[in-house]
Amino acid sequence: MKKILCLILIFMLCPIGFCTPQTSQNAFEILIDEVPPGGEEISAQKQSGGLSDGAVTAITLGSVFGGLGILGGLGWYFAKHMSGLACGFACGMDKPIKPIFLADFCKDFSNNKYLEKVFGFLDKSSDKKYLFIPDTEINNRTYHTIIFEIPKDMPNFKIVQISDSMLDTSVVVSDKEIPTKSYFQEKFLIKKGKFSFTSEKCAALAIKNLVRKTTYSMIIEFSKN
Amino acid sequence: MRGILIIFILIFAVQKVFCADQILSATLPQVMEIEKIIVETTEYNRDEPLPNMTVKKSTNVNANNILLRLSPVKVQLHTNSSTPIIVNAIFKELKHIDGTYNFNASNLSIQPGSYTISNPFDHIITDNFTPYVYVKPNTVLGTYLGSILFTLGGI
Repeated sequence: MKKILCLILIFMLCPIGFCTPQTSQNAFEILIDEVPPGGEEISAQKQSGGLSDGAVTAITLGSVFGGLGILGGLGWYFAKHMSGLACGFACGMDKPIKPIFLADFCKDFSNNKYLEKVFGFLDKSSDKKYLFIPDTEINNRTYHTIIFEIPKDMPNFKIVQISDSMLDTSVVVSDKEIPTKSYFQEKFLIKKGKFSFTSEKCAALAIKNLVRKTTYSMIIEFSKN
Repeated sequence: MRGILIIFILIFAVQKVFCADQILSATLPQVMEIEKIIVETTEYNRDEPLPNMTVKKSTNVNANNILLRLSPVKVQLHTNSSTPIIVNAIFKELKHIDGTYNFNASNLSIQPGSYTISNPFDHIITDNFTPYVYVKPNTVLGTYLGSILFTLGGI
């Protein structure tokens, strides 16, 4: 009888302990499928051809951000490799990477002097595809991220980069950095690599600045061979 | 005559002694509980998941920070309290479904953090609590699991 009474008391008290009517904890599931890049607001500097938002305006933004979900471990990669650095902006393309002669920037380089130099250095080909990052300013201890779709059947990439000071550039798929071979040619830093067979559709270009406020520009060339 | 007078006095005295006014007072137990959680116009029970929570608007704070505003939430109370009630809200957590990225508590907020209801009545509904999330341009996208905790208290 005593045992039954104890059990009854326990069952009476348990709900009080765990489900008080004066609290309510409500769980929810939410989809974050789009994050606009920072710095989208129009500023006087941007209107006069300022540099800091160059990459944001130059590359069309849109659904490629959905690709970040595919990347999965990208957030982990940045947390691990870029800790202590301010997050820069991210941008990407909602259209396939452009064939070189369709790029709008090729018509007028007046606001993109660095890009003009890279463009002049490149051996252009209609068999290849290109990702343009026009003149962009990056602060000290900051990294920028550019997300792009890996062109189909073009696993080889070459980054041609020009900048005021040394920048650390890496290409990341999921949480892994793609190995590259680097060398200088004239005043340009060249990095070559290859995407191995992967089900991932998107990759990220991470640009890390540890020196001083710097202006950079680059073109990534994608090819079959 | 004296006898009758004494009898009247005695009757009065007895009435006062045996028929004294009895004042009954009873206090009903105080009821103060969360009755419903209302997201937009949909009602949920206490502790029930909120499937219609969505991102309503994004605002650029600066080059590195974007503020996401989530669906507004109201709380309906069941109470018989006549004294002020305070309703507190905390945006407890927001974790990526794959566990690849969890928001720090400092990037989560809910405005206002509390409502004071000065003159409560039964089934009163608070004004909106609005959850906010600070994200970076390279925040990992995808599905996140979050929770909000509401608590009641008397003042």
